[in-house]
Amino acid sequence: MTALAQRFLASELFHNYRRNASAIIGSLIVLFFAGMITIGPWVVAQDPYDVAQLELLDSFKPPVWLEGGSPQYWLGTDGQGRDVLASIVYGSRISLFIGLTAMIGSCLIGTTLGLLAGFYGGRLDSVIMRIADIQLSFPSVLTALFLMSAFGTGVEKVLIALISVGWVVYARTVRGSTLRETQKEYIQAARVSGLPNAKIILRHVLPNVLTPLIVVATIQVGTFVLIEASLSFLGVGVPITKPSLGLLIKNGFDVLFSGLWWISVFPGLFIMLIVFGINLLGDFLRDELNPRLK
Amino acid sequence: MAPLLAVRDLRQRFDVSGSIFDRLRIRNGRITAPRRIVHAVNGVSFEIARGEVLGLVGESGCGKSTLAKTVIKLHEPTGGAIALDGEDITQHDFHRMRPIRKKMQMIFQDPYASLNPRQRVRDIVMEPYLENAAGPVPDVAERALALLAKVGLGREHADRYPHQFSGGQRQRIGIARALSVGPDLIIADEPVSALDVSIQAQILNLMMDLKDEFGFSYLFITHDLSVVRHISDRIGVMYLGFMVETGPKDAIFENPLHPYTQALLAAAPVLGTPLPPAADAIKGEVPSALNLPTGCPFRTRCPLAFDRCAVERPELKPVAGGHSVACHLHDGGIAAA
Repeated sequence: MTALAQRFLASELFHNYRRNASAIIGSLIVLFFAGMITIGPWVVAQDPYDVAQLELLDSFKPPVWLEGGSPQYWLGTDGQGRDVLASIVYGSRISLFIGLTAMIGSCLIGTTLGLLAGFYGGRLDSVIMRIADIQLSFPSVLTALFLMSAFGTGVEKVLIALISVGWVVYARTVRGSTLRETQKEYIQAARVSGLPNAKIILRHVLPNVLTPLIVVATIQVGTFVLIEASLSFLGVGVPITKPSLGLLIKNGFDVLFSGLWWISVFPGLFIMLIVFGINLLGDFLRDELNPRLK
Repeated sequence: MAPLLAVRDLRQRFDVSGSIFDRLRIRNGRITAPRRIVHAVNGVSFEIARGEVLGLVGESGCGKSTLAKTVIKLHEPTGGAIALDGEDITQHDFHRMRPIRKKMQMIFQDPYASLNPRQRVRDIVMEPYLENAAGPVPDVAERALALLAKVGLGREHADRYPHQFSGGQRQRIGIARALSVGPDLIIADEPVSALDVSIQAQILNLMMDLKDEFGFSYLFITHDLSVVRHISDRIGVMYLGFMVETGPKDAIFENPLHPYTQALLAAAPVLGTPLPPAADAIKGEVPSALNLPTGCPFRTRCPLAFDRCAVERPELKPVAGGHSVACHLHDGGIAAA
C-alpha cells in the first residue's frame, strides 16, 4: 500500500496536479462535498425531516448576517422552520447519491454494450449503435423529462431515467477504443494462446479501454446532479419526502419574489459549486489522460 | 516421414465491400452492387519438415502475413487444406483447435503492439501455458522465471510492465510467450523488422539457439533477404499471393529461376559492389489484389513476359533437387528455346 502511495506521489499525474491551480480547487470542492455528505448530518444542528425538531416560530428567518437572523440558523430557515443549511446537507446527500449511483449504473451498462458492439461487430454492433444514435439525437434532459412524466416521481425512477440517457456516452467511447484495441497484435496473440472470447474481452480489452472512461464518469456525476435538479425543480424528480437540492430550489421558488431569497438561492449556489468542482477536476483528468494532448 | 506442416492450395479471400449501402453503384444507367474481394492468398502449397526453417520472402502486401495468420487459423481459410502433424486442421473450430495451440505458436511483428500494456511480464509469458494446462499449475512462478531465463531476461524483469522494456527486450518476451507451451512449430511474422539493425542479429541468434535447443520448426516471414539467408533451410518467394519459387536456400540464392526472384536478389545491395543491371528490371507497381491480372501474376512487370504469360497461369513445377518455380520460361520446351 505504501509502495502504491509512493508510486502515485512520484507519478506524472501527481506532479502536474500540484502545479494546476484549477485541479486543486476542483478536488478541494469535491472533497468538501464528500465530507459534507458523510459527516455533515452529525455536524448540523437539526434533522430537517424530523418534525419534532422543527420550530414553526423560527420560520422564514433570514441568514445570520441579516437583521432578524439567528445564530442558530446560519443560512436562515424556510416556511416550516427548517434550517436551510441542514436542508442543503441532507439534500446534497440525495443529489450526489443519485448522481453517483446513476453514473455507476450507466457505466456498467454502457461499457458492457460498448465492449460487445466493438468486439463482435456486425449486426449486434449496428443494433446497439443505432439505438445509441437515436438516443443521442434527443437532448438528455428532454428524454429524462419524458420518462419521468411516464413513470411518476421516485428516487429509483430518477435513477432509471438517468441511466437510460447516460449509458450512451460509455457505449460509444468503449466501442471506439475496443475497435482500436482489437486491431492490435496482443489480441491476436491471445487468440493464438487459445483464450476464449470472454477471457480476451475481460483480461485484454477491458483494462485497455478504461482510462478514457474516468473522465467521462467524473464529468457525468456533475451532469446527472444538474439533470436531477432540473427534473425535481419541474416536479417530476424526487418525492417531497426526499428533497434533493433541486427540490429545495423549487420549494423556495414560490416565495422568492417576496424577498425570502435565501431558501432558493443557497441550494442553487451549492449545485453550482459541486458541478463547478467536478468539472474542474474532470477537465484536469481529461487533459492528463488524453494521450493526444500530450 | 510426414512433414510437420503441409499446406495444400491454400486460399484466402476477404470481402471488403462492406454493407449493401456501401456497395451500391450506378454504372451505365444501371444500379449494381459489385463486391470487392481481396485475393490475399491464391493457392499456396508448401511443406515444413521437423526442425526445418522455411523462410518466406516477398515485398510488402504480397500476402505473407495473411498466409501466416491463416495457417495458425487467425483467419478462417477460404479454400485449401492445412495439416499439422498429419492432422487436417482446416475446418477445426475453437474447441478442436485447443490441442493444436500447444503445437503451433506465433511470434508477432510489432513488439510494441503484441504485448498487453496492462499485463505483467510473468503473466504475459505464462498465458498460453496456463490456458492450455490440464489442471492447476503450482509452480507457475518458477516456470515463468525459467522461460524468461531462456530468452535472456532475469527475475528482476518478471514483475515489470511492457512499457519498461526496449523493443528487443519486448521481442524476447514475445518469444518466451511462444515457447511456453513447447510448440513444434513457431510462425514468426517479421519478428525483427521493427527492431534496430543492431538488435536484429541478437534476436535472430537467440531464435536460432532456441531452435537448436528445442528442435522446433520455423515458418519465418520476412522481406529482408539477408535475414532469410541467415536463418533459412529452404526459401519460398511470394508475389501477389502466389508462391512463385521455392527451394533450398543455396539453390534460390545461387540459381534463382523466376524473373521476380532474380530481380529481388539483384535489388538487394551488397556492400562494395555496384548494383547489377537487373536491379532496375522490375518496373511499375504491384497490381491490386482486388483485381488480379490474368495468367501469370508477375507478367505486368516482368521484362521477359511473352504471349503465353497473359493467358495461362503458370503452375509451381519442380525443376531439380526440391527446387520449384512457377514460370513458363522454365516449363519444358520453351525454357530450352
